[in-house]
Amino acid sequence: MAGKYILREACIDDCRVIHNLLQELTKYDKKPEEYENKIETLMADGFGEQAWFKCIVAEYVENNGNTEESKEIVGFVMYTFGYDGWKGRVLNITDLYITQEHRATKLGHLILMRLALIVEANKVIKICGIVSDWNTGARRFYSAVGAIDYSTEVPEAQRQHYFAASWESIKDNLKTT
Amino acid sequence: MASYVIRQARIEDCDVIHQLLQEFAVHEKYDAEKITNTIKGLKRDGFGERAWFHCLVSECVSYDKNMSSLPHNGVVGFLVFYYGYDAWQGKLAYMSDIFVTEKHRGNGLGKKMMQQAARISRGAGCQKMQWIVSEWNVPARNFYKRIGAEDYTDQEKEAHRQHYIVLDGKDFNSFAEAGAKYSSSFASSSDMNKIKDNRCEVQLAEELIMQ
Repeated sequence: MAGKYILREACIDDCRVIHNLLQELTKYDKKPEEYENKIETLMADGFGEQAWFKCIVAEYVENNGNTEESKEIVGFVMYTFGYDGWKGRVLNITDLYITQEHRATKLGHLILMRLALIVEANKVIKICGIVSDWNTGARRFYSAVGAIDYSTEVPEAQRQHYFAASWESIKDNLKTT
Repeated sequence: MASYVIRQARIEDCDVIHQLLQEFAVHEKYDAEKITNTIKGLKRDGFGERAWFHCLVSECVSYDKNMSSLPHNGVVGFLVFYYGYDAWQGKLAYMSDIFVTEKHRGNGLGKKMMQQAARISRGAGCQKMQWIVSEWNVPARNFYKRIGAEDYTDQEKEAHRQHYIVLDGKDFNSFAEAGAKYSSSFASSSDMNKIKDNRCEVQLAEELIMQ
């Protein structure tokens, strides 16, 4: 059966499916308890007055022979624009996920090429992201297009550490008097 | 004794911020030329139609007459941050650059600027802040741990470790150029203008996939 992929910008109605796919991702993640975001939050944060993230979804369209088309979202990339004072505009890949059946197809590469177009159009000079140690698939995926792991692949002194703090954990130390 | 204010950067500060960036590069043991961003870029990206970043500066407002004259019109430090997203935890703030010129260190300006950035981003709805620190910067790494931040790269359990992955420089340029090869498959040339707004539906030819 012939099928094709359509890449398009996500719309608010896609949030339910994106949320489900994110939950699929948590099964791989070693810290599933950290997943808190609700569908309503994704809808408000991505499609409200101020869009806090951008998202491209990949739909797989299959023709069932009776001029019927089945369409299913089988992957997505969530990203934000950011900045590096030293160099300029940045694109942060927040999450990139493809369902099992559609991995090892061209889809991953096509999603990256879509990002390449976005990067060109917006005069972005750098793409970055955070990848879990256990996610060797993702690390290989980005390495294949020339990305460097600044946490391990550079001379030791220059290695970069990713720090994060929730408001809860730092509020008492950082609150202004 | 000097006294300082922490305030939002203004477009006029871009010249001095650029100078401080060059000092920052040298401080991190690179050449000043490592700063490929320009004053024009800072003005366009920070104060133009779309704010790609927010910036706070530390300004020295009064000082002992025995101190040498202030460099940089009184601006002695800066912090660049912007808003991002975590699919799991929602709105967050990225602290992208923080620097205080050598003569004015030791006055807690870094921490004060972080406090303001945290307060502002909290007000915008962020529950989390994140940033990147170099391995050699042990004092900074210790400071951040003391204030309650977690180093996700330096985790004992491999399963919890996070890596900072970057695509820039020559490989980035090749990557961006490769996208152009697909632009005719992705969309007609008249649609290319719409790519910036991400509003065009991109249909991929079957033969591209089924190889």
